[in-house]
Amino acid sequence: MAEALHQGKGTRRNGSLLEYVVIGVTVAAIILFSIFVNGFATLGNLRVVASNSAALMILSCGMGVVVISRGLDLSLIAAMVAGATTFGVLISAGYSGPLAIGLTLITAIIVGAVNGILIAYLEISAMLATLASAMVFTGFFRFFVLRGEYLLMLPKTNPAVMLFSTDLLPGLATPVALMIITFVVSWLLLRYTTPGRITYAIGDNFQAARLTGLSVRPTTVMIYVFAALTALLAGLITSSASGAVDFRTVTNGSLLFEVILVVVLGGIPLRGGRGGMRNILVGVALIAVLRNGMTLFDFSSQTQDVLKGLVLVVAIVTDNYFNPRDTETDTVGDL
Amino acid sequence: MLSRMKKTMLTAATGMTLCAALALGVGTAQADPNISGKKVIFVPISMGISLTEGWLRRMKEHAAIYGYSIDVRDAAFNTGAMSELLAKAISDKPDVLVVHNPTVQLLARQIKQAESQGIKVLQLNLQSNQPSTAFVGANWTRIGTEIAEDIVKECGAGSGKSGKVSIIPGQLTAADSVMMNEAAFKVFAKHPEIKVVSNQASDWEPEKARQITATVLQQNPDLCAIFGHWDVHTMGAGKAVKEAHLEDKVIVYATGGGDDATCQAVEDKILDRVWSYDADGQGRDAGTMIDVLLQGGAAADHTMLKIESPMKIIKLGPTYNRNLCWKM
Amino acid sequence: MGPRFSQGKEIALTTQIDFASLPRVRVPRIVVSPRRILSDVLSKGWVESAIPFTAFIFVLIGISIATTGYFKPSNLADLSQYAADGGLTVLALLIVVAVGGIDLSVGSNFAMSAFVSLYAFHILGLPVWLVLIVSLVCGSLIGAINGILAGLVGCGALLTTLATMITVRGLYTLASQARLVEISTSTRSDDLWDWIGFDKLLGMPIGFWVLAIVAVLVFLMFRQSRFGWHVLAAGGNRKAARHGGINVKRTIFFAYILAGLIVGLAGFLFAARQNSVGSDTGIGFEFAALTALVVGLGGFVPGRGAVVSVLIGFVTIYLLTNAMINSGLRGDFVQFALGSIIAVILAIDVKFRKNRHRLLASTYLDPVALGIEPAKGVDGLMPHAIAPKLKHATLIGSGQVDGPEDVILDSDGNLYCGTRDGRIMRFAAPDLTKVSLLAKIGGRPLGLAFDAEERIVTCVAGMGLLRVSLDGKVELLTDQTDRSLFSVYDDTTIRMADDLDIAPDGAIYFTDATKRYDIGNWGLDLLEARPNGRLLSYDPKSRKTKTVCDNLIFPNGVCVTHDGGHLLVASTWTCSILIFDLKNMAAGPRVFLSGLPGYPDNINRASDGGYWIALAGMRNPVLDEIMTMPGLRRRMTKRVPPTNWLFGNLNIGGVLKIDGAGHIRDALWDAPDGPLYMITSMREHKGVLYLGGVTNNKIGRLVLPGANPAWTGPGSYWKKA
Repeated sequence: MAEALHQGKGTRRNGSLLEYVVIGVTVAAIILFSIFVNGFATLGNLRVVASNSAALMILSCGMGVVVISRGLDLSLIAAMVAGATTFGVLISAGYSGPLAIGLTLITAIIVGAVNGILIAYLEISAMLATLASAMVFTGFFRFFVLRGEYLLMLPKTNPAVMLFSTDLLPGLATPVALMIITFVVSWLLLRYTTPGRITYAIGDNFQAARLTGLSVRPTTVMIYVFAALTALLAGLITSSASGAVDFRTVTNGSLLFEVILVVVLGGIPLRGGRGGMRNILVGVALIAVLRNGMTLFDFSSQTQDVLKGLVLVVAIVTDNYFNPRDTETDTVGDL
Repeated sequence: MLSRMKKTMLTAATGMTLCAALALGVGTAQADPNISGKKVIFVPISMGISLTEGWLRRMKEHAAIYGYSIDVRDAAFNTGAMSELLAKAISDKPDVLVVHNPTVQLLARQIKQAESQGIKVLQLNLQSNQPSTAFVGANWTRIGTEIAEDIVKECGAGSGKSGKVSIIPGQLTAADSVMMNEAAFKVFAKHPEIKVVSNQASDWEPEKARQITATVLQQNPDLCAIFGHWDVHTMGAGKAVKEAHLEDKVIVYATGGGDDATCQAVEDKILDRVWSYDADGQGRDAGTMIDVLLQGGAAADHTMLKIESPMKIIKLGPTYNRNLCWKM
Repeated sequence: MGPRFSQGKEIALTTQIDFASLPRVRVPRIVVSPRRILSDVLSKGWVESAIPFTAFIFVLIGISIATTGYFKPSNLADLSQYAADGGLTVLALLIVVAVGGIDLSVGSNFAMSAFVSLYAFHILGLPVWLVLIVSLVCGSLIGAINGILAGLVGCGALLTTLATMITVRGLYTLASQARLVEISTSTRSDDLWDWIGFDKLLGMPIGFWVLAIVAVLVFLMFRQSRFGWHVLAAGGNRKAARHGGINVKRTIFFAYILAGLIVGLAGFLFAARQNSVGSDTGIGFEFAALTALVVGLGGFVPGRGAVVSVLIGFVTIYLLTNAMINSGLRGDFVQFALGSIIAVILAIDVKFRKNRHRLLASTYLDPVALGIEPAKGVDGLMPHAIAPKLKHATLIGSGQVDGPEDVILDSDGNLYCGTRDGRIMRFAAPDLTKVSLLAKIGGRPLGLAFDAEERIVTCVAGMGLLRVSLDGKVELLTDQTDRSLFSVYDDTTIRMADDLDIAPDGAIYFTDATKRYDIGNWGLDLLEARPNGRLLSYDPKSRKTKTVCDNLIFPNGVCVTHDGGHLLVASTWTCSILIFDLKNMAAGPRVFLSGLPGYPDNINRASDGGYWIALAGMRNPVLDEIMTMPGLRRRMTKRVPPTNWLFGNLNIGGVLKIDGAGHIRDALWDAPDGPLYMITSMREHKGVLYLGGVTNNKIGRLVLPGANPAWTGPGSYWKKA
């Protein structure tokens, strides 16, 4: 028993080794960029890094919770654009800010609940359910709601739009503030609420959680609703900042993979049940620093992709080296 | 559920047919008997963007007058699907095939195949390597050159500015981006004071353009001009400039179809100068060209019939007029 | 008081059986029951693909209603030219998924291979065959990277291929950025290149033939090749595969390489057809392929190499998309409709899979009414009328054998029996106290018989008919027969070989008691009471197995009559003994004896020309009554827990002694307090009766006063001793 406990501890330490590796790489990158890149180590640039990674961080919080529950949400970006679309269309149609936000919230909850119901009640595996629902959301909102590929120039006179694109406090942009709030709320929810604890239980061992009598199905729906809400928030920030809602964000697919990258690099295993918001912070830090530094280097986005891919490979192999899969208990379903 | 879906599909399909029938009905009143009932198929890269919607609107007006039909096959930004749709369109044997090329080469073989089967192919906005009966669209090299020359004038020697330029193509491999970049760099090469500090593709996404620009501005607060290859994503860059409160110092260039949103952006000082190829006018040109083709028109020497879209330069100033832009 | 014997064996042996005058038995030629067909269909492997296949049919019908001329050969040929890339990618993904992985990099790999082909063709100016090789090498190299990381190193497949997807996509864009203009302006053309891209062979495009050939090869790989089997094994259960001696890591590695190779081929086809690549070439390919795969397989199922299902899924999605867009619907609406349809298909499929076994279980048991003739000919012999004679039996091997269903003695007096754990045991003559193992067989050995060479032939439930020589050599004689007519369920395998006997010409007659239940739940066959069993024959000379008479109701014990001309077969649930004419088996059975007081099991010869019949259990009026009520039995099995079912009294019984003409002469009942229960077999040997019971842990021995003390079984059959 004692030995088992000890082993358990050991495994956990190994499990977060990736996290330390990533922190190390991030610090190294920061030092390198500070030395070699003109304009990297400035307060202004820090602010840019923070506001550029706000949406990524918020999305990663949603994805992180889903992955902890051993799920995957491939419809996250579709939900993000869906929320932004609804909001943009309502604002353009002249609805007042609060009303538009209220209706958009309801839309996001429905979108999340559709995922949750497909997964929890219809028992389609998360990856496949969200693969299909991403198509449904994209098609539905592009065809029925927006009736076009993009929506430009949200009327800036609307206070609701203003809110997302201005500074909340001097020096603190609203996106950054929202990012911090989302991060803290996600952490509190995961850590201190019953559904948060059930999320870990589901991710660790679904059957056991279910047999213990935990309300796994309602919680699963809640998890996906939460993810949809983070997606909505990210969508509002992005569309307010760039002044456009664009379905290219979905079809390009790169943002989705970036979010998965953040979650995994941060050290939340896709096998679920492990990790927390701290890991999201680590993952976002690495990606944000890399992206900023490489942009300053004027690396083309393709070169950036290649480098990001290589970083991911190195991280996977390192993780595998420190924390190899147990070949005796390895099951096929673990991807 | 499945059957309901089918029903929706059918309803939608019936609706479409009805619309087409209605359009036909209106047209037959004054139809030229020669070409009424002829078939035109339009294969755009994607519907739902102002460019293609604007074209289609004008083409449909022409179709209504003469009583020919226009079918749309929406590739939804998937060029792989586009070549399939084109193959099917060719086998449907229309009289005129309107193709919106995504690259100069991708559909070349199918254009050749269609022409060899007697289908007249009208290429829109981007000319393929493969010549066909007709072309209507902008001259990207000219746009690239003109914008670059304007940048040189604003930022080059004697302007007292840094000469730093950031280029934001859609995709570095997209044909229009390639042509515009080539032309622009040719101009810049003659002016060593112009420095291209960034040439990063936005994947046509406003948000990516915004992030790239925000970062670039950090490093180069003295940036002189931004050359965005499409007005839609360049608006993201413009927003970043505005956020940095540099809208009076950085000139944001863009090019696009020139719909209402462009003028709005110019008025809001998100964009400064937009070379518009006027999608609305192009739509009319395309409609006219289809009429001509259906009536048997062809270049005398069997080369291509071409209509190059005239440029409208949209910028604030005495020449500015909201009517430079068109509305859907 | 011993059992009554007929006076003088001479008289008995000359008892002639008047076969022609016995009542006929109606044996149904085929048994048709909708519920049985349903349950048989549900137990088929291919029913897994029922939902995708139904969806496919729906799509075909929908398209043919909503469009005109869509299924013209020319249009189909056009479609197949473009479908080839997608089809190949889906097959590649299938291989990777079958081995338990996933490959998100197929889209990037596709684009890269297409680019490399174009580069090799236009810029390097290589001959077309070399271009093909180059692009195959490119595809398999990317596959190899995946294989090394996900297979040999053992990283997670999803992340590994995500990383290669992003990296290769970046490299592709960089490369095409640098070289695409040059490629686009190249004027090289080549007849073979154009032929591959655009021409047709036998009316179909080259891409179609490539897809068809690759599909057949992959199909054969999964069905016939060692590598394919290893892939499926590794995908099914890694641990088991490794313990089975398969090099799992290497198998995964090669699976990725093979997938990469196929994607490389698809890229080559694309390049030859389009002669160019676009910036978005291959983007979203992985999701499209995954969708098709999932619709075809009905979920994400490792360890299944269902090539046909997956292609059906692919064609369904492909046609649906293509037809919708071509009918002028907008791309985003098509996406919406497609996503919804896929979600519906998946939901139905998941529910179907989940409930299939439940549905199967609730439809499998399919009772029918069975009227049983009241007990007759046993007046004065029933347990209440006479004392239980088996009370006086002595015990052999108590606690040393488990479940000797049948016992047999050789001419030297050694006793043999089968046991529950699949062995044949031997009790050495003369005192039968020393137990030794004769042979390990496996399965569940039931009936035993000696052939002319004094080798044991045995029916083994779950295995078939086996022969064991007295030096312990085991040999499988047969385990399958002809498939019965119009059977949905493949019943060639002998499921529950029960008892046998050997005719004077050496032909072995044996029963397959039920084709629908295993030895573990033969009881359900009683509740079903359908003619599920069959009488089979095996000819040792020609080594051929034949179904002599199909559709018998639980045919159990088999015994060749003393004159060697007829065959007695116990039909357990009907409480009767059937008789066949060995010279004319085709004439079918007649009733030799009916209205037994219990359920007959094995039948064996008695020394006086009569026969011993083991009664495994006793009838009771309640069960006789509910045997006529199939609905009641069905409801009972569905709603009442098995422990509370009304069931035959199969723990007490005895042995009947009949004469050669089929009249019951005596009864040897178990005593209620033992020591023997549920007698399933008995053998007379030198004036002693040896008794076996399928649930006993001992063999009974009962001295028969008045029996011929020289008579032995082998002697009676083969005139030895």
